Amino acid sequence: MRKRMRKRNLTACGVCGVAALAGGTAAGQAGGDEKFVVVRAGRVITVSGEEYAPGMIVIADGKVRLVGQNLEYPDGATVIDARGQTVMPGMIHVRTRFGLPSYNRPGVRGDLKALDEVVLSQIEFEEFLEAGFTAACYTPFGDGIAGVAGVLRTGGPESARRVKDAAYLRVDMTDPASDKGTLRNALKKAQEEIDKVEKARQEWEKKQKEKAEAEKKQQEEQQKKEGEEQKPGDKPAPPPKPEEKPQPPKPSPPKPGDSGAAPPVEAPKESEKKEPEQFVPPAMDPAHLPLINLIQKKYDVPLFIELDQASDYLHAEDVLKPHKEFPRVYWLGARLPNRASDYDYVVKALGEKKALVVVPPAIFYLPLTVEQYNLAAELTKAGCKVACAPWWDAPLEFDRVRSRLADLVRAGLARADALKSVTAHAAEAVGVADRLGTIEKDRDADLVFLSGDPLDPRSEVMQVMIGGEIVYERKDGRR
Amino acid sequence: MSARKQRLLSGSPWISGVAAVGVALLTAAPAFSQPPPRPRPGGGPPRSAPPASNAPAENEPKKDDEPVEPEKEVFFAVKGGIVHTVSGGDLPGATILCRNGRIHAIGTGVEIPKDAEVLDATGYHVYPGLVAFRATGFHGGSDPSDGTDVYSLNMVLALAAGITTCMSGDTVAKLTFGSVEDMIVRKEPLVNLNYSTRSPDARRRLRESLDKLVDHLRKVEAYERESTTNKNAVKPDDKWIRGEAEKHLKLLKGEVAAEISADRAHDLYQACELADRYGIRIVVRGAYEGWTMAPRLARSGVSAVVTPRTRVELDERHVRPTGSSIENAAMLYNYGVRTAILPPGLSVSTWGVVGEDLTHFNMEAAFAVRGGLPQEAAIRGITIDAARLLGVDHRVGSIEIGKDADFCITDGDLLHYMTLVRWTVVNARVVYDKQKDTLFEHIRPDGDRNAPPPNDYWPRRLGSDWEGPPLPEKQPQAGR
Repeated sequence: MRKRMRKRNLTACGVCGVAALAGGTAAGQAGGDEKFVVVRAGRVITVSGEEYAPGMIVIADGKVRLVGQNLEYPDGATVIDARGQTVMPGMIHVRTRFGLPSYNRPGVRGDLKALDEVVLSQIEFEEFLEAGFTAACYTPFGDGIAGVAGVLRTGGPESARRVKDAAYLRVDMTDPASDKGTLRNALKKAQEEIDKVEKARQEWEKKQKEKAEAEKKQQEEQQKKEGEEQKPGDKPAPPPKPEEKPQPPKPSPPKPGDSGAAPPVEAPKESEKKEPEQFVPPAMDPAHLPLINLIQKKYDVPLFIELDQASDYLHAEDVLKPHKEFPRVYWLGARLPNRASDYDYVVKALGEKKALVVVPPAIFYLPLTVEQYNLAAELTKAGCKVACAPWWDAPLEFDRVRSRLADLVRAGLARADALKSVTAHAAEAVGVADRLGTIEKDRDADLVFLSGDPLDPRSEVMQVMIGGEIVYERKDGRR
Repeated sequence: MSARKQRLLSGSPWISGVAAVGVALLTAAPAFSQPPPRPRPGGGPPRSAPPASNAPAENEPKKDDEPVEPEKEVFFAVKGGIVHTVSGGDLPGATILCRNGRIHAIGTGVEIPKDAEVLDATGYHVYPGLVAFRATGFHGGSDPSDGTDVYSLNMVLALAAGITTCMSGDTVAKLTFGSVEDMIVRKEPLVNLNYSTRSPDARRRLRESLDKLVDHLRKVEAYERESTTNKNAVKPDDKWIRGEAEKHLKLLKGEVAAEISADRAHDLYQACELADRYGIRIVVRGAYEGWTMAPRLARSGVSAVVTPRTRVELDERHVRPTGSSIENAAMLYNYGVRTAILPPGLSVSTWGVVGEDLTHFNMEAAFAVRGGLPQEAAIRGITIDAARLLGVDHRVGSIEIGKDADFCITDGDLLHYMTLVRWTVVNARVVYDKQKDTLFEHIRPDGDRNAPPPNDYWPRRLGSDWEGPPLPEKQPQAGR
């Protein structure tokens, strides 16, 4: 199909100029197979920076190519006319078990993955879409260290649903009397597993060395013998070159991305006399693998520490004192349904650490008072990155998130921070910030089309786009 | 603790000179008159002279979990207050300098380092943090450093009462508000024994267990003697010493003391017999009839934890004196029984009879003073003597060099009913400040005793000119 570039008049606006320049490049790259979708919206909230009113988004193969005003796009592109609507990045649910059963599995279960429990056909993802969520992080359930959470898109083709298998390791600290010991022992066990492999490696190296020495000795003896057989006046043969010691590769721990799923490597059996060419590390306990990876400085899967009250934070920090560098996300807000909370005691400490904190979008009360406390705003002021997640797993609560955020904004949270808390910061909390959470070049085109401002309680989710395809359209008369 | 304590005791050279006055003042004052050491009855295993308390020995091996001394020295000073050291007299206007959470120097000439955090307590009274022999609701979990809500209201209320250390469960722990570090002082300082006349079977089992262990200790001693000459000596089997027996063994070795709940003379007498027979240290809790047999308790070296406010009618069926007496604590003191004081309620509550719980800990001691106990002894009963019974007097209970920097700073005499705690310091950290907390901030904010009462009676919203609920017309005037 022949493509003809459609030229549009460019305004003098600098931003538009830059966008247009980039647009030229995009159009130039456009191969014959790329599928272009163009969104023309009344307003585009990119979250990462500008808001464009009116705005345009050029999407190529499910990825955002351009954002701005008056952009160029290929002629055959599908144009979605949403000039009366506001477009924002799809919201991300940081912590959900919507549609999954709750049963307690205490102890350390780092080998369990929440996404293994999910059967796509069994969960009503439309409830997420109706509320404007395009991704949901399914979290494992249970006390202690329950498992690894994973991120799913809430719509689109099944092949593209899984965004991230291992988003975070859920660590419960809501009852430190037992949870603190669980985490402490788990860290200890993880270190023991590492030591076990290290010890096995040293033994293997020692064995190799002894073997090499024995061979060398044998050779020397043989040469001596040969030398004796030779004429005594002869020049002695040069000493044999020391055998190249094979550099044993480090035990290859499984990639953190698929921690737990990695098949445990079988330890070499004693009965097999044949020495392996390479060092085969003994199997590690898969339940502790996420922690083992963290100790070995592979920080792909952060800890998601669930707290119930302020002192739980101190207890968590107390256990993790030797592991200050572990990446971690805090969830403040397990105390339900009572909104009285003493988190104000630790806001300063969290702010100094510039922690990433997930909170319910609600105004708290200071304990035993009627003093309102806007936790999200206070945390932001202190220096934290704040993500908001619906307080409990009910469709009505998903719907309510935007109006709850509006409450927070009225009580002092900046509008930009409120929008980031369900998009950009939420994406960061579940480790998918490189794909989701903002409308930027090369981010996934997971967008929500609203009838008005996102924080206006009257505005409705009109359409939802996932991967450049409209997956949900609001039916009239349905809330 | 020993290493840390020694480090602190040695001090840095520049401070030792100026602190000399304080050191001289603080050489240990004579404690209560102690009964002479008793011979071991029944030819039991000989034991070296018992230590002053059941504090762990100074030469115990350093534990792994001992906190590493931070690189930077952190100083904290309380200056200008009337320092009641409890163990060594009062020092008006003295400065207490603390280094890394321990008391480093005391005296009027102590130089305060420039980077020290200074608490100006001029005009206030500085006491050691109060020690509750037993308390509930301040710490949580079987291990307080794991399960405690360090921001709980209960903890604030306890600190507002001046309490800094208490035994929760079987652990002596501090009320470290806002921190989970340096909380535990000692684990399992006491063994709880059931030795009541109401359960003869439990008493028999206990005696059997102790007899068996005494026999075992004798065998061990014989083995040790024999093993110096005979290499084939067989070590007595000790694998059976598990659980309760292990605790009892510690008791017999003098590492811990026994706690027995005994109120009436007969039970107290039984406790004395037990102490005499096995040479163990016993703390009796309750002991409201202690005044009827104080000399007997003193002779057996039994200590008591009393509640001076207990009221029990005399039992007319007996010809001997019975029932409680307000003079109980005083009489025990006069005969040399070490006595700690506890209120009837061991937690904090606002729904019960106000004043009977640990929020009025000092008032309980004041009751004992009403019964004739000297003021100093009453204060010792809620500080150093309680600490001794718990075996933690090497760390808390008095203001001495090397001890923990735990203070209760009040706006008046500790036992006066008008007194409120102004600051509470735990581990050289101000954990309670009356003017920064909302609990008592409005009561005498300037410390003026003659100030009009605060305008805060319930319901506050209705204002100061609210005359109370309307009364029915026929209500007699006396009812108002």
